[in-house]
Amino acid sequence: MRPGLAGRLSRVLAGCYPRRWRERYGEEMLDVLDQHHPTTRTVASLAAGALSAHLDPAYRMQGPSLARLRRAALISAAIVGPLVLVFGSFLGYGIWQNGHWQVGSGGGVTAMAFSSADQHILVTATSGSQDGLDTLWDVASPARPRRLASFEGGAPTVFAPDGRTVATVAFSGQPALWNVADLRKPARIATLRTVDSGPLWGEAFSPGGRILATAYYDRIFLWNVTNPARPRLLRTLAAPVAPPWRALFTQGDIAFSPDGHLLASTTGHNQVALWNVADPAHATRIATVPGESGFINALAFSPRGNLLAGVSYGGTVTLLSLANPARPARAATMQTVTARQIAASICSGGCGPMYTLEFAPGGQTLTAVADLSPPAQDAFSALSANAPQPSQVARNYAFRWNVANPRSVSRMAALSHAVTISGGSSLPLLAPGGHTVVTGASSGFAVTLWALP
Amino acid sequence: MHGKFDDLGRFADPSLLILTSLAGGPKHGYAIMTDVAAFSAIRLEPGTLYGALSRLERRGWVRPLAAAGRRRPYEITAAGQEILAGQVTTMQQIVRVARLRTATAWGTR
Repeated sequence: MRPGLAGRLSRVLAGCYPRRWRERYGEEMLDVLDQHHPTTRTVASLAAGALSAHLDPAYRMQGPSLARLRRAALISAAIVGPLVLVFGSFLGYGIWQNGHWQVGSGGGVTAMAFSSADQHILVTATSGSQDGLDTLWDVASPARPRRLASFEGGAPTVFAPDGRTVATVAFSGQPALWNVADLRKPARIATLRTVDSGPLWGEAFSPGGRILATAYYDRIFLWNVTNPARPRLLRTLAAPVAPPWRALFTQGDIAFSPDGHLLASTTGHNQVALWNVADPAHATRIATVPGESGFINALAFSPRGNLLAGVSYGGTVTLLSLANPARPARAATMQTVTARQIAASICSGGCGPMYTLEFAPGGQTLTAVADLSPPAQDAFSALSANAPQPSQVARNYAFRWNVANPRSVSRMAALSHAVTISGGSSLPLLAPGGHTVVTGASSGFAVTLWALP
Repeated sequence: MHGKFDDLGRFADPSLLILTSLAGGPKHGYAIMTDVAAFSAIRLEPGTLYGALSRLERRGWVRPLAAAGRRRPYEITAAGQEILAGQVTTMQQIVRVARLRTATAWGTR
């Protein structure tokens, strides 16, 4: 076995130990692996160790037995896997398609967000022949999602950190806040009125939930929403440029750092703007970071706030080190889908690849999902046609890297997953933690939920 | 007492090597691996090392010390030293018998 492959497999297997075991020994064993020269024997010892730890009652996971079975299946796959994988460095995980359902009819999914307070609660925003609608879902049982309530909305749509407020867009085109403390009875609290600034393309709550950033064509507004019933405008930032031709939004086009001191926004170019929002009333742009070619989107801060990740249109993930936020330094770049795959998927209506990024809660890994839609259907004709759309298959590609050391990032996994959509493109979103992907079709309202290990 | 040690199953041999290594002073994971390789020419793999270490710790034969960064040193406990001494006695007995019998078989005595 090649040393690189053995090293990668070793790290994957180290992540397969039971959680309680990893909490106690995970870090130090990774440290040993860093110094060790992994061989086939290393892989075998880790596979056997992980299996026996799973069988050990002291480390048995308290979670549902299904999760344990999956993990056991993963370990077994990792033992059998090397025989197959000698022929390629492409390591695929198993996939479990969990759910696929219709969120409405006529029109499509324009935005989605998970509640950070309860990651079984999903909000989908849809556009239709009338106006936008938001729907709250309980996806605890992905195969049988429960529709909780619908209310006036549309893209963008985000949950406040406490899960009790949703910021969406009102029919007037202005951002609106909804009280969803009772998920079955959403109630509108306020509309955030500003001068006409064109279409709203992004919203983000600060981690404390006190500040809401709303992004327009050329401006970003910072609101004090400590009292959601009485939002106060704190600051208007002149944003460089809005994203071009984006019919769909990803949750990370605008993002707060975990400490709430920084705001990152896409510029519509191959750049990321960083704003110092520690004092929101006096927020200023502190850096404009160039990235790979094509506009950077799907921004995500690492849980410690030391890294900022974004994906370019061309599928390159850029990791920026924020040791000095005023001078972000490129720490690493990683490729997701290839230029050829993207070129083959672009449809004439202007749909292109869609991306989403999510760091693991400990910041050890970064997961990216790229959605490539089939080129056959024109997005606009798909939206305007009333006739039922023929089914198409979009492909989601998921990638995971070990980013514990940003200077030596290693890819842990890559896999692809077919998603049936009825036309247009589709929008991927990773649930907090990066282990569940939800894909919404821009036409036909279909939402597919699938799990990554 | 030896029964207790044998409960370690496939981790019995690595455990003996680890206890022997720690008998010379506290060491972290990678230091144990290099030390064992130096005195026995046996290369412990990380999965085996931590499989054995976790069992030794649970039995109270080794004790983790404060971690320095990601590295956590382990030291042998009094109970661990007792177990090790017991195992060494058994092994000495085995060695003595083996020496005698192989010498007889080879006719050098």
